[in-house]
Amino acid sequence: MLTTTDLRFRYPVRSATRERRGFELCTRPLTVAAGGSLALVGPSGCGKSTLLSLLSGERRPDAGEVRFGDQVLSSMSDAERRAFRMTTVGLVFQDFRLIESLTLLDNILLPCRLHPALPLNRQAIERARSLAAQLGIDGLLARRPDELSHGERQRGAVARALLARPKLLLADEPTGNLDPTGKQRLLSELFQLAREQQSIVVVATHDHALLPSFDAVIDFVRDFAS
Amino acid sequence: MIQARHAFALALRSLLFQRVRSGLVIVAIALVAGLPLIVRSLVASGTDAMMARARSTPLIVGSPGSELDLVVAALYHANPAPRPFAIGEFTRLSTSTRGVAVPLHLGFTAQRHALVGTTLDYFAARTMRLAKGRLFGTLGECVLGANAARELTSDGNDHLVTDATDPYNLAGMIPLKLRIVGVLASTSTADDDAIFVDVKTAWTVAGIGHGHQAAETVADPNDLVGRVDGHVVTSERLRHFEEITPESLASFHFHGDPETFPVHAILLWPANAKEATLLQGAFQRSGEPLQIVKPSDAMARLLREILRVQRFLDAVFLAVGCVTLAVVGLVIALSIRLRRDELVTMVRLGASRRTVAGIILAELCLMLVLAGAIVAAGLAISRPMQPVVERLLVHR
Repeated sequence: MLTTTDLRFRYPVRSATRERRGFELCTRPLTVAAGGSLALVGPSGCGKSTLLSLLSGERRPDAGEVRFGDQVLSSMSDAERRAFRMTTVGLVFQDFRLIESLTLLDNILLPCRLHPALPLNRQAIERARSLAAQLGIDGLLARRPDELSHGERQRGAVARALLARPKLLLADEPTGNLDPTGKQRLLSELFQLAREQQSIVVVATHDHALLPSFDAVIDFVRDFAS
Repeated sequence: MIQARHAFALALRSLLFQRVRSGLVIVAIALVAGLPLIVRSLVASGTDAMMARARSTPLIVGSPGSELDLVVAALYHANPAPRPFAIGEFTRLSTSTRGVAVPLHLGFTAQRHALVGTTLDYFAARTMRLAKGRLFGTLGECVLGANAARELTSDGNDHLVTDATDPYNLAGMIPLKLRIVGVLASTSTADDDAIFVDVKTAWTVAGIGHGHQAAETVADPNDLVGRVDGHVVTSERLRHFEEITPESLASFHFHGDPETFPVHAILLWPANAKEATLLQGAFQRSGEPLQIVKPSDAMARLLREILRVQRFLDAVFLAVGCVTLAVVGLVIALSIRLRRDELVTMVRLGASRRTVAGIILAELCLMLVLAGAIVAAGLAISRPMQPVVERLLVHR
């Protein structure tokens, strides 16, 4: 189960991200049960991605607590949060962030190269191939990202996020730039794969058409407006 | 921390992906590190060889003038030849000195290789061996150094012709056709490029000796071509070279006092150190028409000059190296900046900054290893160039 108390996070005034300088996010408590799904909706810049980074442990809240099962992320050390992110969280980034110099297969297997907790062995390679097959990109594994279409790269990013069988899948606008059919298809594949491993899925989106697929929805404008 | 094999795998893929950028950086690093190393290695091996050559000849006697010119000409058969002196000095030295004295006649070439007139003692004193054939025995015979033989006998030639000293002077000396009777084993010295003849053959080339050939020629001296006994003959005026044959050998003779015929240097291998010191002392006396030189001393003076130039080159290389390394550093920094998204993705996925640094370090290591391989290859390729450098250093 994923739970948070009231969270507060403020970007430093000298933050590297210019558009975020001084931005402050305040949220109400939220809870997502194992296997459940949550959509975060709101206009661009409202703090959806920031909340996802707090849930993943990438950032530490200034106040409040993020708890996943019996683990309290806000009290973990940097190294512990990195290990948590690598082994427990699957991340799908807004712009996929595949590594241009690696093939699609190497991109899916990248987490195994970055952390000793995820060994790069035969099982990992088979898992990567199986995920690719389920997402319909198994014929493209030898290609580099610049040889793939937008949708194919998106599927590659989803496969990478699911490689370590994460218990928490966080996706930031995973269906952006896809046509409505493609969006619905990718989302249902994401849910199906997440359900197979009883993962919690949290998706940030500004596409209201997708909201009926989720167990719960948090509208930043409606729910977090102070 | 990332495992080394994963860091190197990711680094290698990145290098291969940016082949051109990686290649340029690797070549730049190789040049910065390799060029001074290769130049130093070449100069070191060249100077070592020069000192070894100088030490192999204890003393040289020649006309007064530049000691270095005399040493370089006598050891490397280099042109121009030093001022000649009468071979009578050689006769005097060889009878009064305990040890080996060898005369050298220099200054001529045959097919652009130095033609060295000497005696058979030269080969014994330098412990040179024959690879093929025999040493010269009569006028008109020559023995080739290993490199000269490779170049001049590749098409099965058993003779060669000396170069005309002035091809535009019709009244000048006629080149001499030499018979190749032997090839010397390689010594990796200047002797490999030389052609050796008896000193009397060298005098014949110089025009001091000549023969009277009973050649068939045109009856009318105004004709260039004519017919004798049914076959075509040419005028003496069309003769391109002179040849010493068994038939004409007896007619070859020298005019003048043989003790006054020229040589350009006398190489001396005194029997012992005392004899060498006595000889050097004898030549210090006033009125002595010749000078005696210890080649190792003269060569050491030359090498000091060369090392001064090398120090200057080192400073230039250092300056160029610093600038190049700064540019390489900038290229790497820019490349990391361009890959910022990629590296940030790794951190967001859970990689530590040390892991990311490890990948960049692995990339640098790979580039350094590849640059090192290029430098090693450069050093290996440059090794056979040592004789070329030796020649460049000597032929000033």
